[in-house]
Amino acid sequence: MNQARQKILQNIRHSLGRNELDVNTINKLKARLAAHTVHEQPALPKDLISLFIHKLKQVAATLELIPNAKEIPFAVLAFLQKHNLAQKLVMDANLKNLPWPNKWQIAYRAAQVEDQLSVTTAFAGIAETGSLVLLSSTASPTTLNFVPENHIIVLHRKNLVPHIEAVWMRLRAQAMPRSVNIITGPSRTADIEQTIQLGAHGPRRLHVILVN
Amino acid sequence: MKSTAHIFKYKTKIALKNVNLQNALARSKSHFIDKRRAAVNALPEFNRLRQRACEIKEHTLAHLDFYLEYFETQVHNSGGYVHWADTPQAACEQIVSICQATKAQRVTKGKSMISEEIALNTALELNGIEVTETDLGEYIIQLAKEPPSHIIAPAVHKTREEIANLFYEHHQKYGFTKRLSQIPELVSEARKVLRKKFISADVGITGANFLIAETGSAVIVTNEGNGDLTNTLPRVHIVVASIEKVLPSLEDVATFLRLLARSATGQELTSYTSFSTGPRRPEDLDGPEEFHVVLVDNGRSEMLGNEFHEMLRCIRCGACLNHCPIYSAVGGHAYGWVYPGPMGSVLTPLMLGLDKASSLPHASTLCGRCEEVCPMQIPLPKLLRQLRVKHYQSQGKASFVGLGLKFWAVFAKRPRIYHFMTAIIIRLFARLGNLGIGRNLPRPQGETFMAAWKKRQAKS
Ligand code: SF4
Repeated sequence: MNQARQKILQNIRHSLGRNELDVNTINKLKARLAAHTVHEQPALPKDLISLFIHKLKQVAATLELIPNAKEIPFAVLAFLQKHNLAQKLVMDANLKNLPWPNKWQIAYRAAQVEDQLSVTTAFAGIAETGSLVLLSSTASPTTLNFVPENHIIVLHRKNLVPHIEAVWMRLRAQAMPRSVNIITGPSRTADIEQTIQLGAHGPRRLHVILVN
Repeated sequence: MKSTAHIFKYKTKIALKNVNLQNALARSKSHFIDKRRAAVNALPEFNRLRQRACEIKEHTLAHLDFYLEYFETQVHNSGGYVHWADTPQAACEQIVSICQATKAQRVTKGKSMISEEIALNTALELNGIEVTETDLGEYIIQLAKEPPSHIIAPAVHKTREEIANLFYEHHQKYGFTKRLSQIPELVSEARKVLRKKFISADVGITGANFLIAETGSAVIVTNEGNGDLTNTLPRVHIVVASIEKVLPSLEDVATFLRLLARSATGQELTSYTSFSTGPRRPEDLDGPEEFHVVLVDNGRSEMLGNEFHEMLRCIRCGACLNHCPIYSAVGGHAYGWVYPGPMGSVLTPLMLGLDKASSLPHASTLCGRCEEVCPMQIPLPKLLRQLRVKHYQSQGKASFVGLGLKFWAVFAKRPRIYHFMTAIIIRLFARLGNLGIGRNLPRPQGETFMAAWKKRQAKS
């Protein structure tokens, strides 16, 4: 293995017509890495919320705007009723303190195959593309984002950013989690006759609750 | 995968007569072209992003040793392992031995072109490990025992009926005994079958669209979410990626993400863009216990220094295939190996040897559409021409075409004789009319262009 490593690195240097990099160049490259320079970004309209909502629609996600976090259980209830789902949910532990109805069966754990609906909190929303950014953690295991057929994501307005680069800046304030998922619409496939079909392996429905 | 690139010409003839294939190609062509055009037109910054992406990639390639070592350190820091493989065999051996070390019996896979390149599935199966492709298109062609015919839409050549037949044949053993015909039913049955595979897999193998030196992460983009189930549910996650996939920072990746999906499917981003960094953390409730990255060279480090190095910028978006008149006429299988279309016509001879794929660089009209749409501005026609020159030079004896040209040159150098001869021949053809061989050509007028031109000049 180390032999292959040496061989590949040597080949690279040989092809580039040089030896190992000198300290000076290495320092420059390290400085480039540390600079986090943002490249060209698409110009966006001022109203990020409208843009975000428009982009969500484009990717076949649905949305409900609510005034404050206390309304979250009602928004979830509306979704359950609309799609005729059982009151059995698996959830991100960050949402534990909300006033959930007593009779609902709510689990705070990794997802299991039987789970039909998950509710998680987004680390950020990206207006440019209508995406939601979810991080793996004890409270929000990654399987919640992919196993159930229905996925509700709660996004707080203060976490809506214009471009992906703003997410990187926020992310660097903490340790890199095992998994960063940028989710843009429900799961889909066009592998049979180029016909788009939702719910290939991940959620068939993606619903966003935007807390203003 | 055994290459049939040497019989390209023969395979094109079969492809042109395959009605199902021709229908599928016609459908997919407009689908990809229109969507890409709309997505690119909606982003005024597209060309500047493209320019920037090329600069970033060239910078990275010029310091590839540094960024690979940096990436390696960061993977170690997040608790993962990096393995280096210079050949396809070495890569397969390493992956097999990781699987054996964890006593794996079942493997699920996300779509990965590099794993096709190194023929990973065969290696795993030879060692008694069950492999299941989980991208729907890859799964379909795995059942059909066929190679992918497109780098982002592997089953694009299959009709719904063919897929229904495959499912009917292979899903009986899982209790699905109905013959299906509708697309939603087919997708949903595959979902159910593959769910079981995801849950029982010991190891998940994915490719990587990008590796990030800064964080030691592997990035995959998918629409189905299969890649995420593959890298989250099993005990072990193995990423297999070629060395040119590395990019310096998260900001650099952002630029590439803006180009990739737009060029490929016309989306701004695919449904899922996922960054995996190391194994599950001690406090995590899911995720793999081990995280491995296998870095594959397979000739790339040599390409870095030669006249084909621009090909290393390729991000495998498939735009050059979708816009290629040859690909659109014959489909991906005719190219005979893993990579079809213009990018394949460059890569295959470089990876397998020009003698084994000498027709491929000629499988182009050099119309230039591929270069025009390539997000990484790879001069594909130039690279194809270079391969043609190489091929010509490598042929010790004159070829049939070469002899013909020499014969023609005898006359071309003597204009009087040339005009005299052409005048005779053209009169002859005008008399004979259609010779009835192959395609019908319009009957010549009986006068050469030069003669007609002279007359016209004299008149005016
Ligand atoms: S050569 Fe260019 S257009 Fe073709 S797959 Fe690679 S990046 Fe895309």
